[in-house]
Amino acid sequence: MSIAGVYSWLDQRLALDKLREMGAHKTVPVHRYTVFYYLGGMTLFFFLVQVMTGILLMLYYRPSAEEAFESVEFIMTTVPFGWLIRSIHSWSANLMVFFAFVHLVTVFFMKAYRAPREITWVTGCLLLFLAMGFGFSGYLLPWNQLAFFATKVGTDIAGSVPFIGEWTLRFLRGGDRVTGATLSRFYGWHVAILPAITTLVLGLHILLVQMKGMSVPPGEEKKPPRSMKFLPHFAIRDLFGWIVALGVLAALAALLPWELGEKADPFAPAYPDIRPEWYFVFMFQTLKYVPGGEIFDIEYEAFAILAFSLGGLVMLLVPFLDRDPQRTFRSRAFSAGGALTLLFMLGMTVWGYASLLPVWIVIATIALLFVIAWVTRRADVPSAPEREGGRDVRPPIVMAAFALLLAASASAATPKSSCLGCHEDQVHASKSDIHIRSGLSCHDCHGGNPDPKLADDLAAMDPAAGFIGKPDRKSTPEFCGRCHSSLAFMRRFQPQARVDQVAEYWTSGHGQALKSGDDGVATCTDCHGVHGIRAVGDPESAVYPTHVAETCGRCHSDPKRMAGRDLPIDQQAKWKRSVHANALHAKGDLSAPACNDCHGNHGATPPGVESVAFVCGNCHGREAELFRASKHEGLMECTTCHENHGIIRPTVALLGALPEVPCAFCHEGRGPLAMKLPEPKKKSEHYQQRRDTLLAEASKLGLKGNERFDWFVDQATGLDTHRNSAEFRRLFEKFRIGKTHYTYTDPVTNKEVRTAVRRCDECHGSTDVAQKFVDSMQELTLLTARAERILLAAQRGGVEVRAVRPELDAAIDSQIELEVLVHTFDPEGEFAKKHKEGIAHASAAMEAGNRSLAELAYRRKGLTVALGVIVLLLIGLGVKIRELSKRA
Amino acid sequence: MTNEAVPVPPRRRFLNWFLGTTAGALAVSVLYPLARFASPPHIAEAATNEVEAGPTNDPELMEKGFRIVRFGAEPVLLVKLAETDFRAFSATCTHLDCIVGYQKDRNRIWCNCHNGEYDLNGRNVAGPPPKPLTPYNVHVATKAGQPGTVVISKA
Repeated sequence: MSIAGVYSWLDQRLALDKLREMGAHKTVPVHRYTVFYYLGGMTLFFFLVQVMTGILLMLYYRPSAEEAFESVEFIMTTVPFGWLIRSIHSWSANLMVFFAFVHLVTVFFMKAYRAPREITWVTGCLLLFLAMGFGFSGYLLPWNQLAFFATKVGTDIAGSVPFIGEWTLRFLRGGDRVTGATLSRFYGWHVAILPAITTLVLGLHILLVQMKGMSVPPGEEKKPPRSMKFLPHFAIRDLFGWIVALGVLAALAALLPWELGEKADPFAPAYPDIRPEWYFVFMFQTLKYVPGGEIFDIEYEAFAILAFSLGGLVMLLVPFLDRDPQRTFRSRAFSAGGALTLLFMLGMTVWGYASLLPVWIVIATIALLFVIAWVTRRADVPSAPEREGGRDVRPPIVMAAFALLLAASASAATPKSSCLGCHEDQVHASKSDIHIRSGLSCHDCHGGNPDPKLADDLAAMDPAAGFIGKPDRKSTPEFCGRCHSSLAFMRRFQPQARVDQVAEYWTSGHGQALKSGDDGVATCTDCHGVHGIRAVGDPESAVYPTHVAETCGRCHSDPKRMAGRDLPIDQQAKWKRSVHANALHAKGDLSAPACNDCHGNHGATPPGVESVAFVCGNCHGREAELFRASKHEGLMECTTCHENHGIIRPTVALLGALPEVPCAFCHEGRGPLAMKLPEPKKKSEHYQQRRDTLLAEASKLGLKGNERFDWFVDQATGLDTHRNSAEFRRLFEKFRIGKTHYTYTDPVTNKEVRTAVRRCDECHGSTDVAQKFVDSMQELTLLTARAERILLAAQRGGVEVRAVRPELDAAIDSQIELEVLVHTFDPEGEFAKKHKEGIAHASAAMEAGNRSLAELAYRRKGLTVALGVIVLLLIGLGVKIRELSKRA
Repeated sequence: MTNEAVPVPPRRRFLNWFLGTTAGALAVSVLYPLARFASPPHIAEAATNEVEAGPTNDPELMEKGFRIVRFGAEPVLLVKLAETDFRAFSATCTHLDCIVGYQKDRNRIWCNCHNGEYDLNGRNVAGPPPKPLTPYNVHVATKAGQPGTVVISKA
């Protein structure tokens, strides 16, 4: 059968000629706004893309809380072109909503909803709502954290609607909480219910557009009508737009693939920047500024939600409310209302994204909004805080009352006695005093008669009334010990309190010196204070972990006080530079040791040489265990290498045998593996160039050896690429590449003292063992760093590398363990085993990274080819459009 | 529509050819990823060479005379003929992929789907099966004082 024969067979059955005739007669008005007629078609294109990619995704997607995330991850990483299909689905969804919205806005301002096109408008609005429904239900399906919380918030908002809220919430969630049941339900909506409804509404919408033709805006109606034929002139332009859209989708999907995020965890805290899809942001943002509270059992929030619902309803009914256009072809009030609504939505959206925008844009936008609002202030849309009648004044009042109450109770708690009448200067200090707070007063320590009715002040201080007054330094321990060594007494306040402090004190260096008549040593009050003694757990107490060093240093760092005592005075200065001080002060780790954790507190003495490994081993158990089993046991101590007070964070510099520059640890090939998996030429050249420039600069500065090494460490840590990426910061932290010296301020001269870290070769001369340690660590460091660089490059390109991360983490863990295993002082046994393990992990990560890079290159090539084809086709279409126009 | 009396100018003919070719190329570059996506990726299964199939006195084995054992992802039919006589075959019928069973009373391997029959050497003897069942090796690993363990391995 010939083609004509087939056509005629089909025509008899499908009335193709009639359709052709209809197409041939269909025209589109031509005027200055004709371009807006393409928006509907564009929305339709994205919808069709959604249908196709959506159906494809259903081939692999599994709608259950256990499998949803994993199946999307499978699509993104394992299914060929899965990343493309899913990314296109996500991007196209957003573009569809965007174009639907722009379509609606242009239709609104062109007044295309006028009779007889009311139903076209209503179906169009319904389609926008449906699109938002698709967006909301589809957002949850990957079952990631962002989706989970957005759904929680979204459904919760629906739940605050009065009367039907609770039912709605349960209906949406499929139960009381967002669970797997919600996911099944949303899936059902997304792939069955909404598509079915959309098909009907969309069919009606398109049918009506065909039947009623395009509306001409009021302003253009008076001009002589011009038009173009739908076929082929308008259709080919439509096609041109669609192909551009296809190219944009391909580029977006290939260059900015949609992220996968973290799997939803109902028990993890929400991210700081949780927000819904951008088209819900204006509502989300508005709701943020509705104050909490309720009136007649209805939350304020509900009013805002009702207002939005009402807004939606008004939009739907615009053609029936706006009766004006039929008479005057203008309805200024509606245009102004529409413009204000649009402005409100835009403003709120921008505000919602404020944290992601440069501040000046936000400020400028807000200023602009205010200016516009001011100019058009007769409008009936007040700003969000105003709507609820200004600020909520209750919290400040409650806070003030609370503060007053607190102050009153505090002053009431201070026991009144006659002492303070004269010793007023002690009042301030004593308020925070643990003794006063516990209900004790001056006379409980100092004795005497506190009765305020006493005629004579001196009677209060009568030794006959048990007045002790101020004890001398020698009797201070026993003075405090009257209570603190009494179990019966202390139990009244703190049943678990220790009562052996005084006994311990007498065994300490301080106590023994005091006993032998030296009253220049510390007693209770020197550390704990006199009046204003705070509880030990009070962060402002002088013996709180963060203040201990300062408290001890008040004497031990003072050259005058320490004169003639044959003790160093630089302990505190050195400790301040130590890894322990850093942990305590910078990281807030209260378990990090200050003076008393090694020396004891009441029984303070230096630990003896035999016990050092035990003292350090309290926290560094594994290292101490390895050390005690090693050949160094008995010959030296932890402090031999790590020093005692200036215990800086150990780095490879302790081993000595360092390469010329620290860069070599991560960038310079060493060992057979590094040669086998070489760095890309361009990267390696870039690195070498950088290193050579720095070397030249270093020799200009006259730096050599260790000084040059240290200078390079500073340069490396200052580099943006190293500093700005969390991944590289982690590597720096874990690889322990550090300087060969540290500095502290000498308390006598007040000058910086430069101290070299102790190195193996100080005792051993040059050693093979240290060299082997450094070489092995460098090899692992190098491979791990290289794998990290490759993975980051692939990740930046949008390739999902999550699956490889555990390999890399394992390599870094091995590196950390190698640092511990140095304490075996044997580079062969356990150290070699762990090294091999680490290398295996790092190589696996690197190979997987290289595969990801290859995938990235493949994507880029594919995109180039596709875009090339699209551009050629667009050129052809452009020429065709010109030719058709000429012929017409 | 095109007026057939007027010959199509070569410029337009080239343009139409160019449009057709690029549209075809675009169709290919859209359809290729779609086709690749739709064909499921190959996921390598861990190779299994040997599995332990439980004790020789397994109650199910004692009662029915057979048991279906997981050999990786493959079902394998383990038949106990006598105290020391075990046999194992692929349990997948060579006819249409059903799982076969052993009928103790009739001393044969039988497929319920289409009445396929195999003898105790796995040979297809009656019904539609076109090929014999693939045999597996069986041996019993023994430890002192314990019942033996049946071990199935690839032949």
